[in-house]
Amino acid sequence: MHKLPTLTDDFLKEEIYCADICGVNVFFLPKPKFRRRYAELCVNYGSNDNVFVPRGRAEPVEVPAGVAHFLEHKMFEKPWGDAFSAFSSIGASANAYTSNNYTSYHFVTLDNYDKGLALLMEVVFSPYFTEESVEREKRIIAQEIGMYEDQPNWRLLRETLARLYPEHPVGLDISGTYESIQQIHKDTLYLCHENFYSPANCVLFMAGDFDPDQALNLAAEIIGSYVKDPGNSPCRIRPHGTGRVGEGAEIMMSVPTPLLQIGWKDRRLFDGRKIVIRELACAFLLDIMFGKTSEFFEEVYDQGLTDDLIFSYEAWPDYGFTIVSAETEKPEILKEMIFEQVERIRTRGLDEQDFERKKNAALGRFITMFRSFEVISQSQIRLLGLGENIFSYRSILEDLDISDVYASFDSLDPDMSVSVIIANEGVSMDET
Amino acid sequence: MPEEGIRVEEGFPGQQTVLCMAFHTGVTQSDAEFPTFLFLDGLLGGFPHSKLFSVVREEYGLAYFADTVIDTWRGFTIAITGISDGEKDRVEDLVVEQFDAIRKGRISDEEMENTRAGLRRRLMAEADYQGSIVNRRLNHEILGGAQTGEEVAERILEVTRQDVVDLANETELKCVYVLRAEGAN
Repeated sequence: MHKLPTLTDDFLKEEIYCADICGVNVFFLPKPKFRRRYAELCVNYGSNDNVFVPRGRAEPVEVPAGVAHFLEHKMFEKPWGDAFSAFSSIGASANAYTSNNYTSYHFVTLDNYDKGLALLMEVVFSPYFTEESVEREKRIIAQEIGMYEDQPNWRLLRETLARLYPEHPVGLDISGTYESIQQIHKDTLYLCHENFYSPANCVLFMAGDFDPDQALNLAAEIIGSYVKDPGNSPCRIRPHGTGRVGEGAEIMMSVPTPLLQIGWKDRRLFDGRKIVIRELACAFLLDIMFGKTSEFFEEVYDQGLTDDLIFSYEAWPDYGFTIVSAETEKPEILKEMIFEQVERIRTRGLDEQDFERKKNAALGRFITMFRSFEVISQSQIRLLGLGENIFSYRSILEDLDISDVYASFDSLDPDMSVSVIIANEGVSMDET
Repeated sequence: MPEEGIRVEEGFPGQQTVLCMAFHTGVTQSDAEFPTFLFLDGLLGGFPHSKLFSVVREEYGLAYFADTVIDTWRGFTIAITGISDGEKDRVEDLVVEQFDAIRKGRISDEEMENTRAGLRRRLMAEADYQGSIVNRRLNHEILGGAQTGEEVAERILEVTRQDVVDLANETELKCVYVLRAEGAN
């Protein structure tokens, strides 16, 4: 184990202990008096990693959509049985999820933390796949795909991303499609596991009522028994997600009220700390323009156009996008108003007081994050990938200037936007 | 299902049929058998080791989600699962089979102890969340029963297989509701 400097925040009176254990980045957050004990092992591998050059080969391979998610499902099956049951028998609750850039495995327990940690290592680092279990999982995942297909909000986001990113894997469904999952075999899973599930590509975050040395020594002992070699970094092949966008769409689904979603692709790419600044600045901009305290929201609410506007921006080194959505009886009208609002504020400028209020609110939300192990863990892991940490995030937030928000207007270029509307059959789209 | 039971089928344009089966225990959180009710719900569909998850999903591969929702005010444990429409009769039989297995005491020691540990964890962990503490106290003020998660957790330690079997034999399947997917792939 190689101990790293402890991260501290005097304002919050929190600290995070850090170490490198066999190539795995390890964090421990002491939480005295809490009963729950938590561990999350995150692999820097997600649905966006569908093209890569395998170790020992010269040419890139492309795997079917849905492999990262399929792999996540199968990691719980071991030669001796089902790992979920093994967690249950020690009183722990385990779960996992796959996102565009990460796969996360985590558990919560009151006791038997050492056994849970060992089981977590076995789940992640000891692959075991058979053709029979792969075939059975295809049926289960087909049901999962069906479940999401029936959820209009899920469909909306998937359609928007597919149209914004015809050239980048973020436009693919994380779970894959009914057809793509049929192409997945045990060899595909072994190949991806070998290339992406190396210790050097993983982060472990632990939290609970432990002594820090006790926690790190435990991690060192357990990781050491499962991992000998840090392994190599994967050779990912990712396009830049800044090309032209596709066409918008109107989709028929059984919904009580039409759904509108507008996506804007960011022309610019950022890295490291600049991603954090960009995300914060865009979040502020969207909140000023469309948030509950904005004139715009008051107007659309009074006109009965919608009772909620949802908006977000996210950025990664290879792509960034904004989403604004609403349920509305008049999707075409609201859509035009949203575009007009962007131009109105772009011309008129921002109110300094609005900016200060948003900053105070964001700092308040940051503080409340610290009651959730899961939120701290996921934020810290993501920030690590950007060369930052959860406490430097607070400084970046405090140092954010209104000029940063002005600079984020270029994330909303109408030529880089796509609109998707979901409505029942028979609802007219052309109301004016 | 008993004759007094209700059966409803509706359709919607979608991919996945959803089957809901409501079992009425008649026990609410103010009753002495409340911990046994939690146990019954946990065994049936409250955990990945539960009968519904391990049989409908893991063994047969028929569903992605197959679990229970508990209503502690009205005394229901409701099995809910998403499946392909062609399997709905088979899955309904499977769910009834799992409940009958509990009625007949076909519950292993492992199932009992895993459920006990899982319920204890959830109940003890309530103290980590202000919202859960408030919720438990509010429920107590309105309905009676335990004031804290710890109180219930202590009583969970004492629930026996026979307690669960007895409650299962007093429980009735009151309603089956199927939302059928029309136009699935």
